Amino acid sequence: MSLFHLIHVIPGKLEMTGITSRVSLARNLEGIPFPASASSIWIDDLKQRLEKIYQHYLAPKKYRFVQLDAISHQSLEDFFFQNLIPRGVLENPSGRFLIYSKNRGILVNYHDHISVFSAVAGFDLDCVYRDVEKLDNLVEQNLDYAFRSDWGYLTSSPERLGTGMDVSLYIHLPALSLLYGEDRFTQWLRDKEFHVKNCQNENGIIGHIYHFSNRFTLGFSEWQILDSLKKFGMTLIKWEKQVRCTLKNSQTRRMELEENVMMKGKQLFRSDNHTMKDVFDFLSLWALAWQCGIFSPLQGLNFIEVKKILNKIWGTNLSFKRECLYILRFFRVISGEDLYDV
Amino acid sequence: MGMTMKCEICNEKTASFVIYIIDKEDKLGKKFFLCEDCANKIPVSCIVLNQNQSSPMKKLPTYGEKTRIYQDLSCSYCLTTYQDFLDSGFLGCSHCYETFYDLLRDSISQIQPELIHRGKIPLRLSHRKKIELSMNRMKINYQKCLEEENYEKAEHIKHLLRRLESYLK
Repeated sequence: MSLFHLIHVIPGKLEMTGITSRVSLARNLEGIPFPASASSIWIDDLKQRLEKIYQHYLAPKKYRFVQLDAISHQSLEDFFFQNLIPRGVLENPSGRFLIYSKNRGILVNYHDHISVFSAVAGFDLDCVYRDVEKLDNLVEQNLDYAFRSDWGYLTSSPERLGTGMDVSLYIHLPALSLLYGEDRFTQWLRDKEFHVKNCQNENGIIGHIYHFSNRFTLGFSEWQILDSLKKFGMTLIKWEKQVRCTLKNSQTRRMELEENVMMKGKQLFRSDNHTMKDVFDFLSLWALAWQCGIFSPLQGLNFIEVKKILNKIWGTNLSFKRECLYILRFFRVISGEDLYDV
Repeated sequence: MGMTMKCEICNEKTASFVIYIIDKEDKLGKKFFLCEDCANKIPVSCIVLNQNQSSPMKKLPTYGEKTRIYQDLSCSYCLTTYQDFLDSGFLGCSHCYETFYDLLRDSISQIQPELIHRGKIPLRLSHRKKIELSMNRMKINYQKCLEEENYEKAEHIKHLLRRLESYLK
């Protein structure tokens, strides 16, 4: 396999690559206790009702029905990296089911009875929402959702009450993080009307990947929520591109970034103690340097050298290796097909 | 002049509901007089839990007291207590929204900009809404026909109204 075959992004081509759009709608069925207090009889009932819908409407459309506690951890990790299940389900798949086709589907019995979702690589929230709405309407025609005219769709957590909608944008913003400083930039983002978390849905940004999601679900329509996040995302992408452009055209900045990446790489190779943040931040800056044309297959810290550093860090930790490769794929430094051949 | 009973909770409106508490031996216990609003708001389990306190119902409307009373309150459908909700952040079922209505309304108003749903509504309700709207329009037309003494058309509208009403049942 040639080195160029591994590279998904042409070095020096300034495009925003690390973006994922995801929309989910939390729904509960009328007359069945929410998952947190539902006994196994209720869960069986829920499963049967959804299996019927699956067999009648979704199986012909090539959807798959998976009992998540009956598959291997590696398959669960694959679902997690494809944005089909959240980390909570990866850690505890017991009694949970997934109906999916490609990037969209229905997660059954997590926080709510069902979570209808769709996720795509890139910035296209409208398309993602249309996908989700279609699937939601199909389920709704066959099942009665718990709903109040004043409070909308009733969710297990009152934080999602109303539309039950979670609109998420995962954006890789290394240039803005370098320019303003990660803490200051995060603080500024937190003052906006959105939740800001890292790619693992926790506090503390790692790998300069910011996960934005809507804070409000009641009092706004679905399209209003989408629009506000779309506008915010577009502004951030525009700024990131501008800063990357400046970085690419300034010799001093290019040298600074190159030194920074080289130094971080050496530190990681020599040190035995490193956090996930150290590794992901290094990979993020390395990806940025690729995108700015500072590194190429024949220049600077090339893929073989990075692979050496990563192999030393991973050791026998396969799970961590998969996470790193997933991040590289998110940055589009290696393509999905090549992910496990490295 | 007839004597009217006032609601034992709000002490303002006229009581139109009587709630009888029946004990384990099927004997009639206390009874409470409530107005329509309070009868809809206060869950029966709350009344049962507090029936032995001296004038327990009058304590419910004040917020500070309400929190303390609600701590022991549980949803009659899924048995989730308010304390369970505070500990986990999750409600047990859709009926919990009725049971803990007052407290949830206060906490939701702190995290959401408005307390009214403006998004999508279930298809079954949107159909219902459409039927209700067309029924309202028909009722206006029906009145008009009566005023114009167009009884034939009025009869036709009445027939259609009956049909639409049957869809709502």
